[in-house]
Amino acid sequence: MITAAIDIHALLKMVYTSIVASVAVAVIFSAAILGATRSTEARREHRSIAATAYAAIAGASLLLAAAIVIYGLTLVAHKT
Amino acid sequence: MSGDIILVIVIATALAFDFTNGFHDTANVVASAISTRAIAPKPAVTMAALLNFVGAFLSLKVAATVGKGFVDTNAVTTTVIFAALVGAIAWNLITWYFALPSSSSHALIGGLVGAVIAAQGFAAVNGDGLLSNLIVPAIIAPPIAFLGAGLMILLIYRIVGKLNPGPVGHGFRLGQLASSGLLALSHGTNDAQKTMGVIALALVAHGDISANAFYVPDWVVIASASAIALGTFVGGWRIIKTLGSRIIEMDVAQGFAAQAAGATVILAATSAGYPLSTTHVISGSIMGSGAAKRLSAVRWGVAGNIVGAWMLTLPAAAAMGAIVYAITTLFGHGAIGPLIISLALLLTLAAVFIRRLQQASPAPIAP
Repeated sequence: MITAAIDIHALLKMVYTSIVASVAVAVIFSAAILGATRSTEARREHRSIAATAYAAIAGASLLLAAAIVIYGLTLVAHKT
Repeated sequence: MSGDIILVIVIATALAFDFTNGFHDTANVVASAISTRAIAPKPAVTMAALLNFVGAFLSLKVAATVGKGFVDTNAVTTTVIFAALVGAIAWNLITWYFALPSSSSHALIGGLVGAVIAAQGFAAVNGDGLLSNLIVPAIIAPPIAFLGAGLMILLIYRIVGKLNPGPVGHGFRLGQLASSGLLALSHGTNDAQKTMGVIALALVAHGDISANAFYVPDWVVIASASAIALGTFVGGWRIIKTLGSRIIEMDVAQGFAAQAAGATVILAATSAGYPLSTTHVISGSIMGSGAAKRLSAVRWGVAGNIVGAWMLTLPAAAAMGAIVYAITTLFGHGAIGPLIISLALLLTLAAVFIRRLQQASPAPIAP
């Protein structure tokens, strides 16, 4: 009776969207920091190829994180 | 004429409520970023105000839920909405005076339900809508924010835990700039819409909008966005206590996780049209980021008090809304009741505020 009044689908969507987005942002932003930190260390040790590769990971991760946020905002921006 | 006067009073009261919402919630939005020194107070508050303003334009789903999801729009009058707003403000004033944590959003909806019950009886309340769009999301959103922030912290420590803390801390400070901005945006989009919904409902009651073709006029969106942004800007200068430092002492990664997880839950709820208490969600995410690091880091006693106050808000604000409606209609159904109550409210606000300031001021130094 009570569950009939509740839009379970909308609630579940809110739950999994929140959890998946949180986990994705944590992993991707941490990967960006990992890449940036390792890149600096590699540059200091004159390992230019490794430094470039880590910098690329950092840059790609940041772009991906920004893309996720923008995509999320476009999903929210539906006027009724 | 009488209806026009009440409508003007209702709109002014709704915008004042929106202003106080921004004023009160500034600390929730920017406190952790300031406390971890990710951003200085002045730019933090300015950024929060601007993004609250922008966020209010993102969506109107929450406004539609508030406007037509909880009560029968045909049963609502401008006096009912006036009583709802004053009931909510009165409850916020009581909780503020006794330093009890509360939710302005739940106070507003509680006040609306109570005033409608007093005016038209229980039949005018949409119980299914309340359960589905308010009560269940209110119960599950803080635990989701808790879980989301907890998972984020566990993953972050797993990935970057063994790196040099200097650059990692610098990275998360930059991340906190983005996450606090996102949190301000999400706060603006969910909280400002509640005021938009109430003003639109008043316009329905006044006959300016058809109940069957409910919409939120652009001027309502702009006015609500401006009121919450202005409240955020003004409120930021008197941050005394913060949610963050009251519940846990957090590091920069925890601040990032708490803000990002809180923003994610609020945005997901906004997308579904749920009018969440942003304070509840942010409290949940702060506790989650603390508990994932160390369970004892969370001041569970404080957290328990907050939960208790949350449970009290809806019924108490509903009772206040019903009482205010009963008092207002003692003067008839014209503009006299709202005018007298507004005057009494302003005088009470001034008296309480002065008394609180006197209590807070230090004792004079003896010569």
